[in-house]
Amino acid sequence: MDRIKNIKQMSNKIFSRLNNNMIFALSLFVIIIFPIIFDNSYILHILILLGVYVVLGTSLNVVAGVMGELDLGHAAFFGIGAYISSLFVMNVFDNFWIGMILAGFISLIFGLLLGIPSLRIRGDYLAIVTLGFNEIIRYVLLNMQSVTNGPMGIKGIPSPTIFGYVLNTKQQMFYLIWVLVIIIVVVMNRMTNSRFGRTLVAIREDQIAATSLGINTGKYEIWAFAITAAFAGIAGSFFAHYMNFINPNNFTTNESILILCMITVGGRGSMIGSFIGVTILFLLPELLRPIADYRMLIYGIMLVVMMVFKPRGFWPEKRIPSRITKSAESKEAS
Amino acid sequence: MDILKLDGISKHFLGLKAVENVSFSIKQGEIFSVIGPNGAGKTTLFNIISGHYSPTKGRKYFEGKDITNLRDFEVAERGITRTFQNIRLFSNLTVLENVLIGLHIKLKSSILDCLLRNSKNKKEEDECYDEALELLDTIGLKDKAFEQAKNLSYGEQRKLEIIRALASKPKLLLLDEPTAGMNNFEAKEIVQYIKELNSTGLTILLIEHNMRVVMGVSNNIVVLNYGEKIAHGTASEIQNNELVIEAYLGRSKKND
Amino acid sequence: MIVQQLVNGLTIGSIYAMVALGYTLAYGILGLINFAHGDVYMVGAFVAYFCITVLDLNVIVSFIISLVISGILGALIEFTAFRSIRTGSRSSQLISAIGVSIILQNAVMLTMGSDTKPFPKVMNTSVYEFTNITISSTQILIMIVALIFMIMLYFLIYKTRVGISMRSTAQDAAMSSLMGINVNKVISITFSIGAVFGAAAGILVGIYYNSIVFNMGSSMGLKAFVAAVLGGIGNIPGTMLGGIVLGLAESLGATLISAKYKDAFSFIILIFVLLFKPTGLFGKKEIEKV
Repeated sequence: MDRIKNIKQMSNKIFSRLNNNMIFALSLFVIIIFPIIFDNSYILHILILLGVYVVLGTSLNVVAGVMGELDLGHAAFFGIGAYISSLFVMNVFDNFWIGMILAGFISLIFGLLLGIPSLRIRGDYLAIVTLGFNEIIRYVLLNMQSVTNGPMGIKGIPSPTIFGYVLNTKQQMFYLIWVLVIIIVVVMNRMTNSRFGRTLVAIREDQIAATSLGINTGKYEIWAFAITAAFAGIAGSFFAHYMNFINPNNFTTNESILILCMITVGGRGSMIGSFIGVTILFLLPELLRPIADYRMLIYGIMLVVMMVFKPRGFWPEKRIPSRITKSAESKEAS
Repeated sequence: MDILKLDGISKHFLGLKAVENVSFSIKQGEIFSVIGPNGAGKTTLFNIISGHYSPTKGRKYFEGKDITNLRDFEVAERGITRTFQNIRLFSNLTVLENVLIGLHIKLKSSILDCLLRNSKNKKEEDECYDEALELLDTIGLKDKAFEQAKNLSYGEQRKLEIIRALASKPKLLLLDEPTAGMNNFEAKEIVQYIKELNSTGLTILLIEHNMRVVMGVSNNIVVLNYGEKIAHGTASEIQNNELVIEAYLGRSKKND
Repeated sequence: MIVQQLVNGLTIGSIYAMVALGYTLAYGILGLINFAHGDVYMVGAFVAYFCITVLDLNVIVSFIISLVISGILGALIEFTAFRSIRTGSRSSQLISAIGVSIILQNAVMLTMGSDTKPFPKVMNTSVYEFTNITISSTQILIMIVALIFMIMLYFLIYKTRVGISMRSTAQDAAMSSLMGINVNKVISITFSIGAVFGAAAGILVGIYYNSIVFNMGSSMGLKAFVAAVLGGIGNIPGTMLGGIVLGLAESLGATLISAKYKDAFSFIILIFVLLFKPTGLFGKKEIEKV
């Protein structure tokens, strides 16, 4: 019993549930209150896009962080989701929500497909396959003119609606994306500390050992790709209906690399790290706007400096299971 | 009753005969050892049994069922788990998580359950944490449950690897040189532990270099040399076997 | 028609091969994907352009200056962006490289402008016509230069002391260091050589297409990298062949299948090759020891 107590105290110190709930409540409060106080369309616009990138970053974190495979094709799913949703809503059935679910679903299917090579190919080679996939999707978007309208992109994508009520102010879109962010962050957080999450970490750490313990690594790798892709597809759907305009240039390999940069700078594998990284790297160019021409130069220098001095990111993954607290508690009570 | 039966197993790598026509059976509840000089094909044989390699020829049966074509994780699901010669822990993860991953087969939550964290998943997670801690308690590592595995001492890492393999309650445990790199004291501790495990009814297949370990604990021993089985018998039979002395003991005595 | 495409494919393939060697050298010695390499290729072209048009130097002198500066740049990139994270994770190296790539592109854009520059005419292009194919003197130049460079690289790697040091460092850096090889120096040299190859390719492309632009390294870098992986990254002869194969496949695919998807072919080929031969066409099979 004493030991359990020690463990409990230890984990309490590091990662308490109460604390977790407080963070949750606080962020909810901030999200509700923020657009009311800062009703500035530029700031809200930036924060809406930040929300999109948080979804992209935290979802990429499943494959690239938790499972540790370099995935350079994330923007492809973002694009697939954006195009599927826009085309569906504009041509088939005018309902944003169905479009979004469909976007997630089709992206998931593509994610499963992209996961298949991971059964045979590993490491850098797999990274290149994902990159190649991204390029292929981009060429398809560019060249299938009859469907995608090629480089001109799709204009006039309708804004989301709720029960016939059109969401078109920045405030409404802010709430919509940040609710999505919360849902996805909660789901991802649950995932990392579960049987599934541990399996992915095991694959990252030592695949052979993982298999020897009865883990069907291939199956989990494919599903990790699928889940990562599905959330990117949902982000894409939101992005399309928010911007009302998309073109293939939104979904290039550079975009994929940028998202990977974000979570690496934050700390791969770590949920909070991904969040911090996305925020820093997304806001940095905006903050550097006053020095206009030099901002990308400085951005590049900062990337190198950050990696040289903090190669594991600002908030590296700490694998302290939070739920031990509760399990110890319930034991004590009984 | 035989728990594992190998029937004419061969493994060739580009013409190199790593294992050639090896057959033997392991009885339920015994400690069975495979010994042989370096490069005799012991680890290759091990990898074949665990399903990491598929044999070039021959068949293997577990509990009477043919498992020749099963993949490694399927073999583990049937109840054969292993440790590695060069310890393969998830070294950046906590000690506890290593055991939790070892429990993988026993858990039933699907990926969707994990994402949603429904009540079924919650209950299972709570139970498996408790179970992992209990398992760690049996080898005295509970206090270190939250240490990173790489921070454990060498002996502790060996033990953790064994307990990780045991977490899923296998019927046959494969130990690949469990005392390699250990001092006498640590080795004795591990041997004691192996005996304890065996006394609970667990069948153990052991690969060893350390003759003292093998002779002390094994019910039956197979000796490999150049991939072929050259002897099979009890410890005393093996010790008096001319071929074995020539191939192995003679040389290892000189080295001592 | 097809023969003509073979000539064009061989030309562009030689360029791919030269740039791809930079990736392969860096990968072979450090196991690292130097995503900034495509921009070194761009810098090579721009330095030559600057020397010829602004400084008004002799063409050959300008090229030599460009190669030297790029060589130094290659070593400098390795020193600043990769040396301290040599043992770090692949992704931090990747991002450091991307940082360098952004820096190089923006530095060139800020100093030289973002518009496409006409590369000075350095030779009179004559076109030779045979029965049904035409081949220009620039195409011949590109193939000859590429051949010379590759033969030089071959001798350097396999017949010189530096080459032995490079190969042994690639095999086992720690051991090489114990044998008295200055590993840091060898790695610097390797990066320099890779950069020189990239710069030479940049100049050749400038001559071939008569135009250069600050972001020309991105797409070339990607293609060349695909070529390297296709042939087996880290494997020098494999990479050379990978470049040629890619160039040929692209020009043949563009004529025979669809010109619109020309750029997508390289990636489709890549994915299929990797699926069936996960370490590239000429790569060694890796067996993971247990």
